[in-house]
Amino acid sequence: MKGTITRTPTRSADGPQPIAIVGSGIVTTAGRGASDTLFALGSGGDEPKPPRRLGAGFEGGAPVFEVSDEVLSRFEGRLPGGRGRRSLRLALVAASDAVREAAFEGVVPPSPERIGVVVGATVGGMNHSEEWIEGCCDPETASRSRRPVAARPAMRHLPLHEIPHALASRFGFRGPAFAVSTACTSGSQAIATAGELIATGVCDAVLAGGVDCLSRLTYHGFAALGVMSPRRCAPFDASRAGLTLGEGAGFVFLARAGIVPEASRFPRLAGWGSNTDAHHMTAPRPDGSGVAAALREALGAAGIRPQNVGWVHAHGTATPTNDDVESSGLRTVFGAHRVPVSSTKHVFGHTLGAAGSIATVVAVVALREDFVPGNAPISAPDRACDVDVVPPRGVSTRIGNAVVNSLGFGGANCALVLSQTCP
Amino acid sequence: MTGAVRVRGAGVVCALGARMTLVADAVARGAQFAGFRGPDPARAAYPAAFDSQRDLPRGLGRRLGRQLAMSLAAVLDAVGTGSPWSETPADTGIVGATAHGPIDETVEFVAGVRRHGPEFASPLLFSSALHNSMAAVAARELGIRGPSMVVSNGDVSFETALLVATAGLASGRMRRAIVVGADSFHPLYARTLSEFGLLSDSARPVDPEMRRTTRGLQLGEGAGALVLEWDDDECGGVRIDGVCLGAGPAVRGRAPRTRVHLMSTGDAASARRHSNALAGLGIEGAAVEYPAARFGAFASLSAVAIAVEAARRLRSEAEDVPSLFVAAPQGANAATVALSGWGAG
Repeated sequence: MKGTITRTPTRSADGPQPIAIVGSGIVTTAGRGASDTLFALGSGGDEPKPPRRLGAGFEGGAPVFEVSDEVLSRFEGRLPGGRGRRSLRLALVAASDAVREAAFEGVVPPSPERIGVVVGATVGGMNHSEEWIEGCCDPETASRSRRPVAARPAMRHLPLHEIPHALASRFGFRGPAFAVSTACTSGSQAIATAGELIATGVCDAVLAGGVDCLSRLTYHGFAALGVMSPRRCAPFDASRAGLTLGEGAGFVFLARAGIVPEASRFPRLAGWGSNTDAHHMTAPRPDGSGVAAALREALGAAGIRPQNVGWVHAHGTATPTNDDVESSGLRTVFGAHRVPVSSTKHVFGHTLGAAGSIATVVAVVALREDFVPGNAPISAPDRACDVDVVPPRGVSTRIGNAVVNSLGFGGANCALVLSQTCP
Repeated sequence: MTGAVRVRGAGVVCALGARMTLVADAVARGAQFAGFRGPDPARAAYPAAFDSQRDLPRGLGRRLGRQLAMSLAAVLDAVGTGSPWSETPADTGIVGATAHGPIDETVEFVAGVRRHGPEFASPLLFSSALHNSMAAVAARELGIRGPSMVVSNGDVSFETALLVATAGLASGRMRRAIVVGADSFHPLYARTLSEFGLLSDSARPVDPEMRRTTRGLQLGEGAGALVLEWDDDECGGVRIDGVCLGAGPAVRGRAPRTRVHLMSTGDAASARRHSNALAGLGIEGAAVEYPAARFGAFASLSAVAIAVEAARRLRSEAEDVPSLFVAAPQGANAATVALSGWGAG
């Protein structure tokens, strides 16, 4: 019977083949693709603005980073209509770029049954679902509607799996296609899960990434928690005042090195680690032990020592608690090795379920270009955040191995290790 | 290197009860329609026999919506009184599965902001409204510190969670995995289905032989959980022998001595799809069961069906034929799970 379970240790010398990152795609407030991303990282990007798409009542609220319609309008293919399907549209644009890049690089396409799709998301099509819920609950809206308000197609978008299924259908991939949700580590966790599917022989290649669009649920939710910054966020700065929400998508096309011609041309997904704090629904474990454990697991799986890591893309949301705890975890693992650390959320915003995958694509670009992206300017160093923050304009240097670190609600921690080349 | 994914425990919340022992006994007695309530968009046709105040210890369910409460109850039922991970909490992972997530919290948060304004938005409701809260709640309650995630894949969400968990066990990332699937009834969802004409108006329950199809869905709700461990010894015990996921029939070959559990919801289109899937499997002479007849139609039906069958096997000492759980929803992944073994769980 197909599907018999075979043990495939990924933590030993006789483990599976390396996993090459053969394509990547990114859509953020900074634009689309590597060149827009690099330009924004080098220049510091635009200022966030009050949200325009969430309806009335947000004029004086915390600013956000939105993706412009112009970026999506430049997409060569057909995008699904309706403003409610924004997450799907963002995902399609970024995923298409990742798949196209893989095809251009001459990756030997395995049979469609061996290609999976894993998408990380926190709320998926929530902005559309909000209309459904509000319409159902609001008698005024219901009475204005010509057809039963509950029967609007918006309810279809509540399930997160709509996005991976649509991507699988668009690209003709017939392997497992599903959504992963681990709050703000969803994008990283989707890539880690994809790595696991390849490492254990379930798939030969996986399109993996994360996506989230702005929604009223997340905006009001974070506002209720009191963690939204009234100005552009400043990770690791002593004066940081919270996060700045964003939206976007980041996707990578991962393939078993055996099906990739000259695999050494490509960066490698070298290791991953994830765990849960089992502590609190919204706050990380204060000692940073969960962060440290995920980092150690990822580095151990990659067979890379901490002193050989050239850069950490931190989660760095700029909330006081996150940056403290993350710094503590980084110090625990890297010790005396003063690894350069930066968060790019001052450029893209906190894109929630997409954050880890956007950071991964940024890391892929950084590894290719020998460029370490910078952090937001530090106006006053925070002694509790004892990490070596990269200067705002970034640094040109060979990175070698990069770490992407993510934290999320529910105590989720996830770390990915990327290496410059596939062995 | 080969081995087996052993089932160490099973828990369930469904129309027949909220304790695995009760449900397994009811199934053994041949109970079919104990929980059937008939068509009513305001409540499930097969509501779970579950009260969070009664069925969760120490008032745990007080602040949890129905989906979260049911999933926690199923996990606690599967784990039982032991906590084998207490000394190595990082070796145990949890993989949750849901199609609609914590819909109570989602609707309450969005509708609350609409009615009362954003200044009254509840931070607790917000964090609980995210899909991964079902895994986070269980991990916090049990002190589990390994990988924790929730997967969403419509009607095959639980099979997907099993695939992810078995991959994690096979790779050595986890020594033990708790897999839980849960979806609850919500009147808003039912109302929408009703207005689409997708809800059954029949006063008769789903035919256990599927000789007649329902006019639309007879909605149910529930949660099922398994405790899994990797075992290098391939002999003995209740095992997950394989999980296949992808477009099209997922298992090919002949297995005449097999019990097949078809996840047909009972409506004509679903019955036809599953009938085709059965033909595609090439299985002849197999006994076929339709779990929807006992538990109603809902996205986590397979979680309940697989957990109940696992529990039956864990309690049995008699040799039994393997079980195949087949779900073939339209336009999405088809999934097959193979379960075998008995006793000594």
